[in-house]
Amino acid sequence: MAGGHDHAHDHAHAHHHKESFITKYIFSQDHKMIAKQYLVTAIIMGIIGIGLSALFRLKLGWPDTQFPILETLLGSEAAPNGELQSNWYLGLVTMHGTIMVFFVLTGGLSGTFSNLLIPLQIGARDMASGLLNMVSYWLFFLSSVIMVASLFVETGPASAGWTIYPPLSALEEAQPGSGLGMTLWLLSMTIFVASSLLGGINYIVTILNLRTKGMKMTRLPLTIWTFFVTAVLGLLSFPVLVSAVVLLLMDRGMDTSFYLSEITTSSGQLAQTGGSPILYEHLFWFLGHPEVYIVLLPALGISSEVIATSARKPIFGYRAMIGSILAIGFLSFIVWAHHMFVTGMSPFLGSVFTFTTLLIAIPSAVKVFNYITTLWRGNIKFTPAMMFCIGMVSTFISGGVTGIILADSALDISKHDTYFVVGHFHIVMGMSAILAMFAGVYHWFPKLYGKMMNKKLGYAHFWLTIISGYGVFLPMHFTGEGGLPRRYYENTAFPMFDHMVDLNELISVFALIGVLGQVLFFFNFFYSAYRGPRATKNPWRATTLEWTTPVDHVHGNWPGALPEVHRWPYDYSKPGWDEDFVPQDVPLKPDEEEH
Amino acid sequence: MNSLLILIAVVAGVAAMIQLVRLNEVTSEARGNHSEEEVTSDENNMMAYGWLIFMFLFFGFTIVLMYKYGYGGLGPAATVHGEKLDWLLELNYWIILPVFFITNALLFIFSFKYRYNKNRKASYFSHSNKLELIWTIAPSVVLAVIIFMGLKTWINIMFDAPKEGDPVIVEAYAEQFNWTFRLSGENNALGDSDYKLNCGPSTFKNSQGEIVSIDGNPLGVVSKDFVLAKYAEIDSSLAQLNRELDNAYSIEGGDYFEPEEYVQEKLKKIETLNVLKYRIQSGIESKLNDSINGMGADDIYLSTELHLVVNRPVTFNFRSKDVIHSAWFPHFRAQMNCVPGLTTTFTFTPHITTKEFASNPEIQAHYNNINEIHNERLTSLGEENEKVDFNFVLMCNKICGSAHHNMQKNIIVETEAEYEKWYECEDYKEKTPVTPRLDLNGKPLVYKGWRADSDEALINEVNMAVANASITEEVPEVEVEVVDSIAVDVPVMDTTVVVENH
Repeated sequence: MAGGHDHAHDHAHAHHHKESFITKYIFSQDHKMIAKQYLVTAIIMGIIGIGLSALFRLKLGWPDTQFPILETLLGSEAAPNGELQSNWYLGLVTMHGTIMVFFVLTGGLSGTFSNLLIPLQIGARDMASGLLNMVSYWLFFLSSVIMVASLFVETGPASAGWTIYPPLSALEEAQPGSGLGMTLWLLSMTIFVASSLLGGINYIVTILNLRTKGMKMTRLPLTIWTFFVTAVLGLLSFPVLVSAVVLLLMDRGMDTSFYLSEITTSSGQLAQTGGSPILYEHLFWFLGHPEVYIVLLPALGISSEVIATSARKPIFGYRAMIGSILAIGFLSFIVWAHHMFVTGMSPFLGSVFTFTTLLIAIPSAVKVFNYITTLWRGNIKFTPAMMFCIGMVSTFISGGVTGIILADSALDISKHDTYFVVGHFHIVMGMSAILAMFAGVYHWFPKLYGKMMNKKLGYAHFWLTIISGYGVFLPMHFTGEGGLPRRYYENTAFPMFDHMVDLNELISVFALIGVLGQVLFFFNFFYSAYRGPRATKNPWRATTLEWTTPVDHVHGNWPGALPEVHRWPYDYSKPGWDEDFVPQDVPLKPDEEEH
Repeated sequence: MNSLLILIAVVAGVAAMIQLVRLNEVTSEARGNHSEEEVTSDENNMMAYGWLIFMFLFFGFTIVLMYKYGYGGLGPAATVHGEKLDWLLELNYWIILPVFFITNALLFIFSFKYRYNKNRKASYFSHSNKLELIWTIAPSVVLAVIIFMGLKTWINIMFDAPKEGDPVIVEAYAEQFNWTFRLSGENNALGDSDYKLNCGPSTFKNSQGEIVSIDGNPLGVVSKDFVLAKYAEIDSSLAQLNRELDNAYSIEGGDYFEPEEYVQEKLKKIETLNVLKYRIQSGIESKLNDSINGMGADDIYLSTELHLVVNRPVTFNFRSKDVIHSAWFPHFRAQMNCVPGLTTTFTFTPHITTKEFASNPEIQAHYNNINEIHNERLTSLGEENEKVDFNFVLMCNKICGSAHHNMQKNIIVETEAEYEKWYECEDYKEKTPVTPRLDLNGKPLVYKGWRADSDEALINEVNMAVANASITEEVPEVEVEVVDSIAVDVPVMDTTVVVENH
């Protein structure tokens, strides 16, 4: 299939040898370097993103205490005398959401692992277009810089929630954060979308065209399947976000009325009539819901790979897994309005979206049962990556079941926008994706840096993360059951929620432990990248092609000819073989059946 | 000094960690190569037992939370549909909690049981169509039940309830950061509203030719008097702007001496106001006679708490002045967004009075607890203690700006007799911004009783009154008068000329 490309790539490969520092480390077109760039950028964004959550959890956990550290970090505008101001609270919440969803779990997760693994696992020399790939990263970098810069704007960053519903986000009079901060947010997101479109189209083309000889679609590792579907989702949904953003910019600057209608502000009546904020919500969630799966699918792909490798057992139901990835991908486009059951949208639409949303539970359940069956009668090695993956399956279950309640339009009436929702999506999407991202880093670190990460720190990091993660988000379901709305700056403005004071404090304690626990990871990551022990070629004894490449990166990935693929990627503990794994490039024995 | 200490502590911590990791590496390298690649059997067993311990901690934590905080504090649903919702929620919990415990337990137990053993080989069990079929069909059947029950309840709440039992209509109007209610009065119909008529305090000559003052028309209700009030407000703003422009004009210099932006800003405001006035003239005033629903004359405005009658269905019409808000009634299990430019509705029937609800032992115990915690906090803040009573609450549940967290109103559900007493009491009427408790012909409303629509004859009478109303006859004349009366002492430019200049 891809044999014809070999010559061209060898040719390109020869040209790459004379490299300056700049072309090697900065404007690199090598997919492995770009993956590292994505990862390091995402880690830095992650430090900022979870750091912000620690700051606002201080306010929510101890509403009457002054924290001078807030004034030190945020300035006297935001937290005079260590008291966080409500505008800034909303700004921190908004920036936390935006950074975590887009910059860490979309750019970071998909950007890092799609770039690293697609060429390595399909047996290609590089991405279809190295240049587009490089441009994609630098646009991501630029948008990250702009997003972070908006934290330093005098009137504060965007503070209308990460969904930035107009008119709140459209009118400067509505809140200070809707001024320059919001403009920067919109600018940054537009650039971010351009970046992910360039990345996405590259991934799709590479997967479809550059597979090595014998790498049929049905022999692709599940990671590649999830990256493929993720890229398609991104390609179809992100442009809709851009259109929503452009219309919003026009409403903000050019007196159009796409989203604005019949509004009276402190400066009088606005002229706009006829627009509808609901239109924005539809456009936003048409991206926003596939976005959940853009975050989640790579996580599921990574855990499929790591679980099979560490359980020394084929992933159970390979074809059913592909089927459910495709089903989830398709369904994710027809469920968006379950975020809008109580917006005043037609109740009939609510019925339709309840139905489609609950359908997603079926492929998700299939995936969970397949993971559990993969563990059954396995021979499990608990590498740090495997620990994170088992944790990920657990969060996928625990967060998934509460999704059944929220998907039900009738029940959503009393759960919409409460902490129940916050607990649900942080477990099912936030924790699952971040645990899988950590798993990916621990598992492929030898491939990224040629070094090993420290195992004991990895274990400590894992237990701190999962315990504090559940410690934060399980109690939120209970405050939500008590009717506590999300995005409240104080839960003590009126006494109705006073009985939750201790629960909120507990959440904050776990949040701080969880945030501090990440120090172990950052330390382990940067220390191991420089000083870690050198890795061998195939440390996890895995079957996929990336482990047939040399430890030290070479351009073109394989020094000689591209490997040829003879079998599916999950030949672990196959009867008839002495070793408990058979790499994909090992030919079948004469009488061997494929699987 | 503090930050220096913190810095030293951080540096020392990092250095200690580096040394620890090195020590660990050196000792494990002594035991064999590639220590970070091989998971030793000790480590593997430790992690396997770790999963078992974690399972007990995790389930224990969940159960403690359910036991201690499972009672969220809202109490039983206070509405008819809310009871159905709570039942449905419970049904869902009975389905998802077993799934949650069983699948998580399987995951952790399998992880423990099938931990690595070098004498064993994993089974090469890669697929089974029978198993796949089982766990596609089983969830499908369960979900079919969930979907069916859910949609049945949803259709009941959204489609059936509004048509049953003649609901009384109430408007809840949201703005940053407050709620205003409008009762539909004797005719159980809200008068039309238009955001263009939204105005602040105004003094004007009303349609009867009397000079009157109003506190404002915060909901933008349409009536002839409110149109006149808005004109007066616009005209006085225009006069003020023109005065400011005059003051900024130098006759000798023949030009403005204030900066260009200052002048442009004023001119833009003048233009906006003129456009607004034109749109009111063409869009509202000209239709006052026919197409506008004039049912607003008897509407009652409440900036205080809202009173509802127990067992009487109520349909809320939600509107918003500025940004999206969400009306969240946690005790009533009701929620609907308030969207500028759109009227949304939600219908429910409160079936228990505030008093009865508060006397529930569960709620009493809960509020004793809240009082204790609340006053402990007040004491620690050095504030005076207060007694917190139970109340049904309406609060905002869609991020709407800096005081989003503090935008709530009490709702009082009471018996019909209590309601009548409150309704007849004049107190709340003083809070009504304008009190034209007159019908459209300017005659006092004579209807008695709670709702007019229970009586066919009364509905007809109201409709006739609307149809016969002739309320715009004097408008041009009045408008001129108002403008003149304000313009007398202000030598202003002709506003149309200003627009052309601009």
